[in-house]
Amino acid sequence: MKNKSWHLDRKTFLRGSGIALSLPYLNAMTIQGEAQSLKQLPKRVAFSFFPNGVSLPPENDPQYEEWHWFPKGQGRDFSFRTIQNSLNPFRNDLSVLSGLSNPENRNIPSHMGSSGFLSCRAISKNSSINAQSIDQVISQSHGRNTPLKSLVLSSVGGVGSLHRSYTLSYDSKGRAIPAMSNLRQIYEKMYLSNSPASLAKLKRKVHLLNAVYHDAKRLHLNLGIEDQKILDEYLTSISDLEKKLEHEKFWIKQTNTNKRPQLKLEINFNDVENYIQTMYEMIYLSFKADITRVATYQIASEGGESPVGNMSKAIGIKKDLHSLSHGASKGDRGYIEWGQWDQFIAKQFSIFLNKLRECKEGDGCLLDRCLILHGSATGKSHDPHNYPLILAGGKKLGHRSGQFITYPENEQALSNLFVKMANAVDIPLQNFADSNGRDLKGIFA
Amino acid sequence: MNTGLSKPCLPWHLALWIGFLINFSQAWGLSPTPDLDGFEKNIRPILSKYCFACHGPEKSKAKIRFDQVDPNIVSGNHQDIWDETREVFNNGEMPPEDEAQPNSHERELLSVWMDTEFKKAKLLRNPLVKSQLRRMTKYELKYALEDSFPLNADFAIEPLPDEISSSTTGLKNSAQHLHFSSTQLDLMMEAILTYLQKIRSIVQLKPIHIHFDIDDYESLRKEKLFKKFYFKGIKKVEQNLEIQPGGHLDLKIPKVSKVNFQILYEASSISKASITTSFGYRYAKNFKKEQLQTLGHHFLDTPQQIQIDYFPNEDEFKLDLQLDRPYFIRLSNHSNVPVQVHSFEFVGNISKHFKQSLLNQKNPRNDLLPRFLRSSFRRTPSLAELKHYQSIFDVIKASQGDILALLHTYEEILCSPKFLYFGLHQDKNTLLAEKLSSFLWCSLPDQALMDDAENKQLTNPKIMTQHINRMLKNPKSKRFVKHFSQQWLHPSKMFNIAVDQQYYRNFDHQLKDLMLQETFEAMNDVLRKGASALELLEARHVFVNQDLAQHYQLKGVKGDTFQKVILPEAHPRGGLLTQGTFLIGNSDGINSHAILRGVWLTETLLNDPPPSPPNNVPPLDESIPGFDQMTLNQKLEVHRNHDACKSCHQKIDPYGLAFENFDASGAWREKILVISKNEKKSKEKNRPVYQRTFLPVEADTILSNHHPLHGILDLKRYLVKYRKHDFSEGLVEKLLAYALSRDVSFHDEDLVRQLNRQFIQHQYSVPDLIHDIVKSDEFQSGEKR
Repeated sequence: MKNKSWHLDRKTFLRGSGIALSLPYLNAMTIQGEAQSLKQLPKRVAFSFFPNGVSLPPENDPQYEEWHWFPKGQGRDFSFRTIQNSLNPFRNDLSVLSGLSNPENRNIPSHMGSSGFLSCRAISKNSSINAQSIDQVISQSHGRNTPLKSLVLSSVGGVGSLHRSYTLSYDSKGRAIPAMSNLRQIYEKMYLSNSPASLAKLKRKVHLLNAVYHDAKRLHLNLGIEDQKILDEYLTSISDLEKKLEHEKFWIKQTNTNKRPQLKLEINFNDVENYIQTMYEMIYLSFKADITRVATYQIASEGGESPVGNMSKAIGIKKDLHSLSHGASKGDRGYIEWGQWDQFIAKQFSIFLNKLRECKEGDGCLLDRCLILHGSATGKSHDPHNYPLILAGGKKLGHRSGQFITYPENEQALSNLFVKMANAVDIPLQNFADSNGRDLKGIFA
Repeated sequence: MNTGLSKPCLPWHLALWIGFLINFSQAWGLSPTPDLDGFEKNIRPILSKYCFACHGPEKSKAKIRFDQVDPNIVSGNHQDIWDETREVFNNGEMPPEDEAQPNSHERELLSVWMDTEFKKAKLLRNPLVKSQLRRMTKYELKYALEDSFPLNADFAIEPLPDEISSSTTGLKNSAQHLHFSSTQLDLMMEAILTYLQKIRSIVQLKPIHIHFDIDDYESLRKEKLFKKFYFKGIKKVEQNLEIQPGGHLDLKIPKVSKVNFQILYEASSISKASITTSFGYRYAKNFKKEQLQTLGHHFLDTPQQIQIDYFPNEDEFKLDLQLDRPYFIRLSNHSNVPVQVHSFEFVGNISKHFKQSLLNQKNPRNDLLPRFLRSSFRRTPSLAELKHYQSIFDVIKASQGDILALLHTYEEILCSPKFLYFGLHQDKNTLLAEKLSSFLWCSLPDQALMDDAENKQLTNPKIMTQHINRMLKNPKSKRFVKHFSQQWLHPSKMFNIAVDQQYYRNFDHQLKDLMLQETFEAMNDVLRKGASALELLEARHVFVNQDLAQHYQLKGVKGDTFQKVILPEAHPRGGLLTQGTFLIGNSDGINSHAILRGVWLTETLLNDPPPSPPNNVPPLDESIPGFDQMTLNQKLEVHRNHDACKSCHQKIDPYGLAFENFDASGAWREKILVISKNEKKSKEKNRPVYQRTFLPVEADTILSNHHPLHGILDLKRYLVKYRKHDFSEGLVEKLLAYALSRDVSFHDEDLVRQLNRQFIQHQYSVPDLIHDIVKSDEFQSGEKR
C-alpha cells in the first residue's frame, strides 16, 4: 500500500476515527486547502418509500384544511398542514413536489408501482425482470469508494414479486436486489468484522469461488446454447462476487471494531416506531461514517396482503394500511385516520432529517450533502398520478430547497428529477429510463 | 428431437442440431406468418363495432384497448390479451349480455381467425421451454441439506430471500424467474457454510454433566442453571425432594441442539406411584402455553434408577425448530401418593450418535465421499471428479482427522453448480429422477431412484409407476403438500391479518397455526392419499383437533391430534371454502370481506382471475345517513353501484356474499356485530363509549348468470355441479406448471385439456394425475436441447 491515493488516505482516516467523525475531518484536511477538501466531501443519495399513496381530501371536504398531504401555499410561501406538521421546522431544508409520476406506470395496476418507482419502467405481465433503478445507477460510480456499494433496506425484506415488491432496488440487469430487514444482519454488513473467524470465512469463500468457477467453466462447454445462457448468469455472479469480496477484504483491513455504535438490534417491524427509527438510523450512521453513499428504504409494501400491513394498527389506528387508503370518504373519519398514519410517517422522517442536520460536516451539516427523496408511487389510493414527493437536503449540492413546486404532469416525468439528482452528485447522466429532457425548473441551481 | 439423442453413434450436440433443423423446417413448412391483412379487413371492424366502446380510446376496462392491440398473435406482444379475449369471447362472457352482440357471421369470422392464429403460434417453439436448467429454490436447498445431514437447516437458510413468484402461476419454482446474481450466490454459499459450521461445532461438542445436588436445593434454586420456571407441590423432606400428588418439578437445562441428551435420576414412593418425565419449552418467559413432549412414564415404589436417553427425530420438528428457547425437564407426579426424588443428573451435548450417523461405520474416503458426491450431483461422479475431491480430503485429513476433512470436502461439493442446478444432465433417466424428486420431495433423488436411473429403468413406465407410488407414501412428500399448497392457495396470507381483539375477544392467535395445519391435512388427503379433489370444494368431513373443533362448533372431538371428523347433516363446514385459513385470510380482521373472498374463489379455485381494479378507485360515496352503522358489505354495495366497478364486481361479489355467515375470525355467525363510537362520551371518565349493534346476515345472493345462491352450502353445491370443470382444469394447470417448474401458456392448452379429461375419468384423483403428468411428453422429454 505504498501509493495510496488521496481517496484511500481519507478513507483510512475516516474509518480509523470511526463513527464519531464529523468536524475533525475538516481539520485533518486543511493542508489540502479548504475549498479543495470541501469539494471532496462525500455526496450521498437516499430514497425512502411508503405505500398506497396519501390522504388527499378534495377541497370541499371538511378535512381538507388539516389532513390534505400537500402543503398550504405555493412556491417559497408554503407551510405544512397538521398532517405533516412535524416537517415545518425543516421547510427550508426541503422541497415538496407535486405533479410528478412515472408515465409508464400510470396505466398499470397501482400496487405494482413500487417496483417501477426507482426504475421508471412498467413491468410486463409475464416478466420477472425490471430495469436498473436510479439508486443503483448512482452506486455504480459512488460504490467504489465505500465498504458498501449501497444499502438496500425494507421492512419486509427480500424481493417479493414484481407485483408487490419488497425492495426498491434493481441491479444493472434489472434483477431485484434482496432488501435487508433484519437489523442485526444490516449492522453486520455495515460494520464488517475483522475477527479471525470472519477473515477465515472470507478467505474460504474466495477459495470456493475459484474452485466453483472452474467447475462451471468446464460444464459450460458441454451445454446447449440456451443452457449456456442460464449458466452464464451463474458465471457472471461468480466474478461479480469475487469483486465484491475483494472490495470487502480491503475494507475489513480498515475496520476498527472498537468504534461500533451500540444499537438495540433485537426489534422487528411489530415495534413499528422503534424499528423505522433504527432503519433510518442505519442510513444516517452509514452516511456519517461513509460506509455507503446510496441507500433505499421501503418503509412498507403495497397492497392488502402486505406482511407489514398492520403497522398502522400497531400504532393504534383502527385500520390496516391498505384499508386506510380505501376507507376515506367525505364526511367520514377516513381521511383523519389515513392522515394520522401519514402524520406518523412524516414524524419519523423528520427525526431522520434532524439527525442529519444536527451532524456538522465541513462548512455545514451532513444533510447539506445528502439528497433524500421521500414519497410514494401513488397519489390517492389506486391512482398512480401526482406522487407525493419530498426532496430533502442537498443545499450544498445545488438543491434550491424551501419550495413547494407544482409541475405540469402531462409534460413531466419523475425520471427527469432522477437525472437532476444524479447530476447533483457528480454522475454525468444525460438520460434515465423515459426521461424526456424537459427541464424541471426551479429545483436545482 | 429425442430420437437423435438415443442414437449412440451421433454425438449428442450434432443430433441436437439436426433436431433443430427438423423443427424449423416443420415450422416453416406451415409458414407461421401472422394474418395481418385478415385482421385489418375482417377483424378490426368487428372489434371496433362491439368492443372499442369499453376497450378503446374512451374507456379501457380491464386495461385492455383493442384499438391499440398488436394483431400479431403468432409472435407479437399481446398474446396474453388475445388468449384472454378468445376465452371470454368463446364462452359468451364478452361482449356483456346487455350490450350489442355480433351476428353469427361475425362471430364465426372472429373465432376462426383467432383459432387459426393461435394454431400458428403453437407451431413455434414454446419460448418457456428454452432451457430446463434452473437453480434450486430456497426451500429445495433446505431439504437437500436436511436429506444429507441429520440437522434442521432453517437457521442456515433464513437469510436467503424467498423466490419471486411467477405473475402467471403464483409458483416459486418457475425456471424463467429463478435468477442468479452475486447476492444470491453469496447468500447461498453463506447458508451452506453456516450449516456445515454448525455441524462442525456439534461434532466438536464436549458432553456436559450437571449434577443436581438436592441437599443444596435452596441455593440451587437461585442459580441460573436449575432455576425453576414454575413448580407446584414440591417439599423438601429430609434429604429428598418430595413431589406431591398432581405436582411437578421443572428443571431448566441449557440450550439443546439436535444432539441427544441423557437424564438420570433416582426416585421412590411409599406405595405404587407413577412419574412422568417430559421435555418442553415456552415460546417466551412470560408465555403461558407450553410445548411438551413426554419422554417416559415410570412406575415406582422402592428406590429406582431411571435413565432416559433422548434422541431428537425428524417428526419432532416443532421442538426442534426452537433451538434458542428456555428448555426444561419436567418430572410430574400423576399418582395419589407423594414421590421422593433422591438425585438427578443431566448429561447434555452427547454428540456421539450424531458423529456415528455422519460416519455410519464406513470408510470416509472410499465409501462416504463417493456416496455423497453421487447424491449431491445426482449421478455417479467421474473418476477425475472423485480423485479431485479425494485429494482435498487427504490434505485436510492429515491435520484434522476424518470428520472435519469430510465436512471440508462436502463444503466444496455443495457450492458447485452441479449441486445447485437442476437439469445439467445429458442422460434422460437421470433428468427424470431429478425432476421427479424435486416435484414430489422438493429435494434430491434418493439411492433407490438413482439406482434405477443409472440402470436406465425410469423410462420403463412400470418402474416409474412404482417409484411415484413409493415416493408419495414416503413422508418426504409432505413437503410437496406444504409447498404446492402454499404456492397455489397462499394460506399464509392469514398471518398478515390481525383478528381484532375488540370484536373477537376470545380469539386465540394459536388457532391460526391449527387452521394452517387443517389446510395442509385436507390437501394431504387429496394430494397424497388420493381423496377426490372435489372434496376441496365440498366435503362431509373436516380435519380438526379439539381446539379447532371448538371454534367450528363441533362437539365430541378430543385431544391435540388432528383427526378426520365426519360432519353432522347440513353442517356448513367441509372443503377449503370454510376453512378458517381462507375465511380469515380474506377478511380485514374486523368483518368479512365479500370482495376478497370472491376474488380468492374465482382466482384460485376457479382459475378465472378478475382483471386488476381500475386505477383511481372512487372513494365510498357521500355521507349516506347511517353509513357508520353499515356493514362492510353494505358499504361495498354502495361502491359496487358505481359504473366503473359494476361489470367486474357483479362477477366477484355474489360469490363472496355467500360466505356472509362466517365472520373475520372464521367462526359461524347468525348476526353481524358492529361496534361504533357513541357521540356522547361517558360522563365520569370522558372516555368514548362504544355501542354494539347487530345486523342480520344476508347470505342470499344472485350470481351474474342469474343463478340464485342461498348461503355457503348452496354455493358449494353449485360449484360442484356447475364449476367443477373450471376447478379441475385450474388445478391441473397449476400442478403441471409446478411439475415442469415453468409457467404454462396457450402452448400447453392441449395437454392441459387432455390431462383434465383423464383427471375426471379417474374421479379427480391427484395421485393418478401425477402419474399422467409424469407420463406426458412434456415431462418425459423436457424438450432438452
